[in-house]
Amino acid sequence: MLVKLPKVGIKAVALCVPKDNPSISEYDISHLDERQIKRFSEHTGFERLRIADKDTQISDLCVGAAQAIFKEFPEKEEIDGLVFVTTTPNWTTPATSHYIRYRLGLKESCWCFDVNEACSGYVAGYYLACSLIKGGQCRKVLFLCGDVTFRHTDPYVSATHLLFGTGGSATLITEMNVDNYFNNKTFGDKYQAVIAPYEASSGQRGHLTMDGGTVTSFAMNDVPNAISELLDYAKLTKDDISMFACHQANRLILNALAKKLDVPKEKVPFLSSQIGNLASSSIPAMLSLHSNPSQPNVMLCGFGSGLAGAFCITDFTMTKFLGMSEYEKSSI
Amino acid sequence: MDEFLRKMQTEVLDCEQKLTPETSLKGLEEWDSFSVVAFIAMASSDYGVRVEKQDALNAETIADLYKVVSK
Repeated sequence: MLVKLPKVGIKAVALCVPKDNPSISEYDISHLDERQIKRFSEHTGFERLRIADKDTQISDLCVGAAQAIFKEFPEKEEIDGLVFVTTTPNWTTPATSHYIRYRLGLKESCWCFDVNEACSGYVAGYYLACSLIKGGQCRKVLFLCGDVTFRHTDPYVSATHLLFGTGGSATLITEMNVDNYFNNKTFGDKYQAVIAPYEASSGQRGHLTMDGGTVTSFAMNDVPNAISELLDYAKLTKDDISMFACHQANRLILNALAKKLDVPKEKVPFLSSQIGNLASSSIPAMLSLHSNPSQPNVMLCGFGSGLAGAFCITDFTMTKFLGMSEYEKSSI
Repeated sequence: MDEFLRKMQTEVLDCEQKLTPETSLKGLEEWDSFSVVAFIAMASSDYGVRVEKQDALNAETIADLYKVVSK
């Protein structure tokens, strides 16, 4: 749906990652040879991954990112909505967002929502957070997202096991003099393309599987179509966009997307080679690693499991990017 | 076709064996899931053609893949 949400925007963004940062060959347990490792890294662009130890939950990383924001903007008391996007919550129930609200010391009347969304989740969650503000229910929304996807991959399937890193992001959303233009597309008929099955009857979870060919066909065709639709709706051209902040699927896809959109590669940055694909938090991760993300007319492009895509043209000239920090157990 | 062969050789398969239209994909170790992804991406970015996974997997030779992007 094409929609414009004015006078709301992102005040601050922070990323928190675990300390462990193994190389692909250190992390591989399926005994790929040197040539196979090289082929994997050349295609995907990933060389190292951020990996959480068994005692670290996604809530810990998101709390770490949120604390980095509150250090700079001590506005905890004013947060009246918390949106937490993840495919790997701490528990099936309760919703992890209630626990995160408690951990952060936000007020008890804060609305808390868990949203199950993967690689399109940053833009979907931003849409939801903006809607809460535009509807008048909330004044300030803390939007957290992140995944520990690697815990659900088959360690012997390198195409998924060596792809996913870990990180939690925090985004502070408030009324601002910023216009946002959104578009989204969902293709639930392709639900099997990226799936971590859960058999409700037995309670058994299966490994996450990915059909790379189907995902690529979607990313290279449906995604650019949705981007064109959104540009037309906002009455902008590709040359007006300073940066296409895309889900960091892999380097090959982002370079091919730049070619398809007919924009320089630098406008579709891939900056995740040392951290891995962080799923829902990969867009804020890329922005946190970017040397100059505070630009006007940035298009956020989230796409993946669903299959689903969500897109937003926004303005980052007033947004403070606090960068990437490493998770310290003792400090939280 | 020459341009397509060059792209297949350097961008998609990244293989040492000299490709011809008759080269069989079955005999090529490099025709793996990475190459299928790279081929589908190239079909869209360089030829403006939407290719589904099965179209790529049905191809037996390089010439068959050329037909897929020339449709």
